[in-house]
Amino acid sequence: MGNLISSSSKKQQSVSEADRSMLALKAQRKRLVDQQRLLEARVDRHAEVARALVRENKKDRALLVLKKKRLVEKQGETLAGMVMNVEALVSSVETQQQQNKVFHALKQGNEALKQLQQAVTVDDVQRMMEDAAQAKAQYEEMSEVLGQSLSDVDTEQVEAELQVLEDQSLQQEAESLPSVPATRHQQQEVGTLPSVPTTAPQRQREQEVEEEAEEAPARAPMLAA
Amino acid sequence: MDQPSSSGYSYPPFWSYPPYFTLQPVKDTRERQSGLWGQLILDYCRKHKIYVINTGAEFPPFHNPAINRRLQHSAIIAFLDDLVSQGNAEWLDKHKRQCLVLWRKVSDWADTIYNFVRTYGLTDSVMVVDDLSSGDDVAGTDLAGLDRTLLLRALKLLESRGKARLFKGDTPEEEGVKFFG
Repeated sequence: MGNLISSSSKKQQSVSEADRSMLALKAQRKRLVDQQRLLEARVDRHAEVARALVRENKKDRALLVLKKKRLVEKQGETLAGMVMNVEALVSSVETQQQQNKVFHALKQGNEALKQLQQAVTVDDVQRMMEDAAQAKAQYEEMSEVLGQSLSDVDTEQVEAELQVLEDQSLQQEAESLPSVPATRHQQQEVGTLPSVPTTAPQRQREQEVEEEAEEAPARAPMLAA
Repeated sequence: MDQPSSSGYSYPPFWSYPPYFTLQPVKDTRERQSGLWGQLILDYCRKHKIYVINTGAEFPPFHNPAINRRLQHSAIIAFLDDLVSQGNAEWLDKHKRQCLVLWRKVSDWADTIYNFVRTYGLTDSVMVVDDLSSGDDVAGTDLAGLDRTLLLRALKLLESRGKARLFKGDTPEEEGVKFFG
């Protein structure tokens, strides 16, 4: 508890050969980049000197300086190429390191998954489902048995009694309805009904209209007054 | 460090008063004076990213041409001594010629470095020590231009905390550091 440096930070405190190689690469890169900077400064200086010489009309000397400048520039180009190579190598090593880390992480995850699957197999699950089905069957059987009657009452007799009660109730309903005519006499009465009139109602309506017309003028004079 | 006063730095009011450029004899006044100068030194160094003051050389805050006043060497030493006793500076040599100005404490620098490493996912990777103070990776950050002595101090502090490990390569130029997550 009083330990200030946790054990986890002491885990990866080693510096491997790979680390040293990487350091050598990066140090080399830095050296090359520093040299590049130096060369660039030289090129600029030569350019300045050449310009000044041209202003003083010392063309031959200016030409010499420009040749020197060109040499340094070429040196710089070669250097730039070397820097690219070193950078490329550094980049590939770092990428490979990352890939390895990813691989290890995936591998670990895979192992964890396998272990979990071993803890609970398909057979386990199947067995468990069978047990559950068995338990369910048992329960249903038990309910059926429990549901069966406890007394020795004759089911047939009781059912027959129920049928009688049902018939009685049906009969009572039937008596309250009007009876359907069954004799011939009743049928003839149906035949002596008057036929449906067709013309009489028309004349009746015309009479009604006339009566209305007579009434109307009688009402009108009253209004005029 | 020879910066013209038109560098855009705004000096505090006391800097324009001649008395402040003379070491005051009275204890209380002297303490107040030292406090003000200490603040100025730290602030100026912080703004201009100056890490070491050379007591024998020109340092703009110590000289105000407008009022024609300049701090005497003894005053400079006195004020820097006070900063050292507060823990905001350190003498780099016995003769007090070079003073390391800690406008940010070493442990804060250690944190700055470690945060940089974490931000850019550089843990578990090897770096050249100098790449932490110069180069493309730190350009534009607080770390650019960091004094080498200070940088190594901060890294050693991280090492003692178990967050880093300094090591050397095959040649003496190769000073590397590995950071741990």
